[in-house]
Amino acid sequence: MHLAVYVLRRLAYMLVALFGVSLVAFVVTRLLPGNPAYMIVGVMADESTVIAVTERLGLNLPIHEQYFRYIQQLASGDLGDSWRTRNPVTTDIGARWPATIELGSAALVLALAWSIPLGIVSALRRRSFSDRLANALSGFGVSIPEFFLGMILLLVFFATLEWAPPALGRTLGDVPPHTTGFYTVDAILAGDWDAFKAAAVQMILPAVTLAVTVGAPMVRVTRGFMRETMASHHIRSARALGLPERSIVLRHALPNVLLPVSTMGAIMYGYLLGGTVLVEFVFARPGIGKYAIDSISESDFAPVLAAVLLSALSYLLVYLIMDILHFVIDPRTRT
Amino acid sequence: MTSRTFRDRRTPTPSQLGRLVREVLRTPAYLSIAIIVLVALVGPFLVRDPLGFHGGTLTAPSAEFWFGTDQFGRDIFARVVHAARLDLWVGLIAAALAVVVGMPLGALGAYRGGAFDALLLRVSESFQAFPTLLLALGIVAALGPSIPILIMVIAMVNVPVYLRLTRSAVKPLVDSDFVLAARCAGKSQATILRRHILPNVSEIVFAQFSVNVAWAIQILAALSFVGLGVKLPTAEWGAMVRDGIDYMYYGQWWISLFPGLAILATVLTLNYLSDEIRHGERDSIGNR
Repeated sequence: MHLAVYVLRRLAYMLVALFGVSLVAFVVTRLLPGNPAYMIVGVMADESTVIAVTERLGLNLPIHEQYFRYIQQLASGDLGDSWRTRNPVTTDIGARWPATIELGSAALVLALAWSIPLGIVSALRRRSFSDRLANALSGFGVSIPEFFLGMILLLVFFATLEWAPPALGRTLGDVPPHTTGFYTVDAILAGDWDAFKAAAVQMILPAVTLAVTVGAPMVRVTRGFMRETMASHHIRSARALGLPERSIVLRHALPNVLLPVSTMGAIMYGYLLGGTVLVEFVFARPGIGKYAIDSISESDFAPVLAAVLLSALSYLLVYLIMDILHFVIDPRTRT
Repeated sequence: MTSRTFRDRRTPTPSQLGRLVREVLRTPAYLSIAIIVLVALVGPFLVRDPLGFHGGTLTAPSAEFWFGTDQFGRDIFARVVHAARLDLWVGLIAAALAVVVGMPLGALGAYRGGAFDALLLRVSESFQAFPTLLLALGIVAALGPSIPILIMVIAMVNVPVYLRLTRSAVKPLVDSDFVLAARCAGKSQATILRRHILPNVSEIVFAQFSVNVAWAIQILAALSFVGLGVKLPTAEWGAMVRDGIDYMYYGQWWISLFPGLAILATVLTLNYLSDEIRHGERDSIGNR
């Protein structure tokens, strides 16, 4: 199959999936209780004002026409307005997504850094200390709730040891001049070392929390694939040829493992970019997840809908890129 | 499976019961799940009233109050024990509902193939693209938090797991000889699925079940933690962790710590239980 055909087909799948996601998200959020018109005009407004606002928002229309209007708006890049912040949702998200991307990327790097080497080593040395360590850590990481792990880390490193700053947003220092929206990157670009440090320390604990919970399943996946590969025929042949163990592992086994593991990593990254509600909540980090949860509790549905869509979109997009990369790298997928 | 005796094989003999008890005591995963279930069943009758004021707010753990008391003077140990029953129940029912819906659908999809199968797969894929927690949050916010709604929502996000699992387990069996033989014998589709195919995949589903109960408990706790789960002042682990969040870093760590540890211990146990079931399965295959 040609690459262009493959990409087009995957894009078509993605559009269908997005359509489904938007439909479900729309239905769910329109069920939120309360007439949003009241939240704009306030409870003291007279009835005619309420009716006017209801009509302006199209809330009096039948639900399928509301959905149609919504899709039209989406197509023109309009995600609606938030009544809570009184901003267009796109503005709010533009201000918050960098916080999520910054944290998600840091967490992914940390997660990959501990989970893949540990998974590989534990597959090579069964029942060794590192195998047991991998078992214990991944079991723990899969089982502990994110919010609880975050709180424990804060209890130990902030409240007891006083090494970490309190969980109060993205930085306690100066906000660096806006270029990319990522405080750490902006600080480096501006050459402001103090601002970088202030932003980075605020990210360590939430990133570690996510790295533990996201990395745990990756350890298992890596170990599983590595064991499978090491037991395969081509590794046996390599052994029979008398290749050194080092080259067997690094040159002949590892590339086969990295493909499925990178898919897993992509899924995780998609998940992280969609906003990790609980961790952002615990660390009061103003990202997409916190935006969504704050909006849900006030029946502010446009931001919730946007957050769900964005989350699904980032998941699908990362997955798509990964699939295309595999198509290019791995000849087996081209049949 | 070689020896056949002419007794009802459904009632265990005393020696089998003894073996079961020994097995439970020897395997840590079985032992701890037995303890947790026992606590959930019997515990609530033995501890203080989880909603009552028992003198002294925010008292540290002591001989009288093992886990201390919270800001309303409630006994945290009693609340953790009472919550065990609620959390396990919700987890069990939600996971069971997901099996009941997902397993037949997945089996049917694999058996029939074609457009029906493709549709099922697409739907469950777009469900996977959803941020689970956000979706659950949205629905719970829309319909109002109550235990039945929570169970339904948690079951719903678990359905695709069973659908895909059963589908992939059934797929290789569809063309196997024994299914073909059953088809030749004129058995109906429902009978073939129920009598011949599903029993072969039940062990895989059962091992997954334990993981999904754990996941259900985690979702319930997360929903309650952000304030959209069980209603206050019901004792639920996630809600209790939330209760203590303002005190956690300023000296009164016990309000959140103990319910959090309860979640961790339960989920960890359930996950290891699943590993144990899978290993046991492999061993019994090896012995055959």
